[in-house]
Amino acid sequence: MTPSARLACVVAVPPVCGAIVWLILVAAGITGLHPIWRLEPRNLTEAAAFRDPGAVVRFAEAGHDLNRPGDLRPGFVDDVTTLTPIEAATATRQREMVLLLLDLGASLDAPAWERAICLASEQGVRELLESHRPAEAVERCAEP
Amino acid sequence: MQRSIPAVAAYGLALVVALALACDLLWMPIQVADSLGEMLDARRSPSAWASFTGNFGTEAYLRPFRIAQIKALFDLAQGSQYWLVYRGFHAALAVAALLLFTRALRVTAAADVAAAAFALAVLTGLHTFQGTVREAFPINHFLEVAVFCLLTLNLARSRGGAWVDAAALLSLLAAALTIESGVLVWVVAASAWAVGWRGISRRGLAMMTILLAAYLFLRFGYLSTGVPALSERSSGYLLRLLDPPELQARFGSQPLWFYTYNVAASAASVLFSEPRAGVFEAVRGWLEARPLPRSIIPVSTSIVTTGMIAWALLGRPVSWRVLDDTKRLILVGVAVLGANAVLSFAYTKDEIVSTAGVFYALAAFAAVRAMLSAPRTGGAVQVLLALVLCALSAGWAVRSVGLHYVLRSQALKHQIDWVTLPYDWRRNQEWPSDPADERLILQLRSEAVRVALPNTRAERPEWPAHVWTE
Repeated sequence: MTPSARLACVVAVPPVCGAIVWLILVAAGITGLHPIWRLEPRNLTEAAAFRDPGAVVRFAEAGHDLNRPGDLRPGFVDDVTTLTPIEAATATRQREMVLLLLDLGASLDAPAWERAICLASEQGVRELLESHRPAEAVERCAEP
Repeated sequence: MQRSIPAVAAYGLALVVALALACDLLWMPIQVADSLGEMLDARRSPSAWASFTGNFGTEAYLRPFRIAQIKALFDLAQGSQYWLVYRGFHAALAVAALLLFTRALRVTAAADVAAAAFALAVLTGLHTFQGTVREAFPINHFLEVAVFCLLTLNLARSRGGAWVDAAALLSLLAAALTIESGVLVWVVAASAWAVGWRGISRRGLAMMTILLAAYLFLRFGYLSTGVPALSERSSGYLLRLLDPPELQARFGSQPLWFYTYNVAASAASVLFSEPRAGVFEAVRGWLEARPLPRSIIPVSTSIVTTGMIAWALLGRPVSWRVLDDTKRLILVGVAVLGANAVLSFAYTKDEIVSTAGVFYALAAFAAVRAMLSAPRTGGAVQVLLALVLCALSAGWAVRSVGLHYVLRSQALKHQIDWVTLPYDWRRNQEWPSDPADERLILQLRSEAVRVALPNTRAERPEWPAHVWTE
C-alpha cells in the first residue's frame, strides 16, 4: 500500500464506521434493542418516573389503573421502590407529568395528596398540587 | 469499468447514510408546532391550486409553492396515511439530497472515495444540516432548497442542452416560490457558470436572471411583501437570545448593526460552528468553566476543516487562470455562503444557512481530495498529517452519528407535544369547534402516541448529552 493510499484509509475509516454504527443503532432501536436507550417502563409508575408521557398514555389507554402504586427500579427516587404514578412524577420533579396524569383522570384524594406533597421539592409541582388540594388534606411531612 | 468502482463505493456509502437517516426520519411523528396549523389549513383548502393562488403576497413572505405542496401531500394521504406521506416525503428528500451531493462530487479515484466519505460526514455532521431534518412544517423547505441547489449544481456540471436549461429554470422557480432562500439556486447557477461549469448555457443563465428579477419585482414591487420586522421573533446576539421587545429596544433605531451582526454570525456559524443561531454557545461554555465535548468537538473540527479549505483555495501552487475542480467547488461554496449569509440578515437560524452548510461540505471534499493528492514529504510530517486527519475525520464521524441522537430526542419531543395537546388546547379554549378538524387532530395524535420511542429524556445514560447537542 502506498503512503497516499494509507492516508486515504486513515481519512475514510472513521466516517465509514460512523455510518455503519448509525445504521446499527437505527436497526437495533426499531427492533426494540437500542444499545444506548434501553429503559423500557414496566408499569405506569416507571413511565412517569422515566419522563415518558407517550408510555404513560399507552399504559392508560391499555386500561392500567392511574392510581395504583407500582414498583420502581432503584436509582430514580431515593429509598423508595413503590409509588403511585403521581408520586413518581412528583418525586422526579415533573410538573407537566403530574398535570398529564391529572388530565388523564388520576385522582388526588386526601391520603394521596398528603403522600405526594411530602415528595414535592420542586416549586412548580408544589404549586400544582396545592391547586388540587382536597379540602380535608393536611400537609404533615416528617422533618428530614 | 475500473473507473466506476470508486463511484460505486461512494454511492454505496451514501446509501448507507441515506438509509440510516431515512429510517430515523420515518421513525418520528409529524410535529405539532408550525405543522398542525398548516395541515388544518390544507384540509380546508379546496385544491393545491387554490392554496397556491391564495398565498400570493400574504404577510412578509411569498411562499405559495410551499403551501401548495402541503395541500398536495395532504390530499395524497387520502384521509389516513398522513404520517407515511409527510414523513415519507421528508425521508425521500433527504435521500435525494445525499445522492445529489454524492453525484456532485464526481468520484473517479480511490482518494476521491476517502474524501467523499469525509464530506458525507461533514454534510450530516454539520449543525446546519440538523435544521433540515430535525423539524418539518410539515415539509422541511430548507431541505427542499438544498436539494434544488444540488440539482442545479449537477445540471451546471452536466454536458448541457435545452433540457438542462429548462430544468434549471424550473428549479429556480419552484425553489424561489417555496421560500426566500430559494434564490440561492440562481447563485449556484451563476457562480458555477463563472468558474467555468457551463452545463447551464449563457442563454439559460440569462433566463434565470430574468426570472430572478421578476421574482424580486413581484415580491418587493408589485406585492410589497417587505421583510421580517424586528418585532417578529427572537434572535441570538453574542451570548444570549434576545426576545422581540429586547431586539426592538436595542436595535429598533439602528437595525443596520444588528443586520450586519446576523450576516457575519451566519457565515461564521457555517465556517466555525460558532455562533449557533447567533449565540456564542461554546464561548459561553468556556466562560462558565464547563466546556463539554459537545461544544469542543464541533468548533475544533470546523476550524481545522475551514483551515484546510483555505489552504486548498489559497495555499496550493495552482494557476488562477485555469481553475481546477478543487478551486471551482470551493469558489461556488464561497459564493453560496456569502449569499446565504446575506439572506439571513433579518434573523439568524441554523437552518437558514443549511444550504451554505451543504456547499461547505462540498468544499471540504475538494480540500481533503487536494490534500490526499498533494506530494508526500514523508517522515514525521507524514505521520503528523495522518494523525491530524484521523482525529479530524473521527471528530466529524462523531458529529454525524450525533444526528441519530438529535432525531431520537426530537421524535420524543414531537410525541410529547401530541400527548398534551388536547388538554392544553381545551384549557386554553383553542380546541376546534369543527368536527372535521377535531377528527384530524385526534387521528394524528393517535398515530403519534402509539409508537414506542427510545427514551432519551430519562438521562440514562448521561454521556450522549455531553457529546451531542439536541
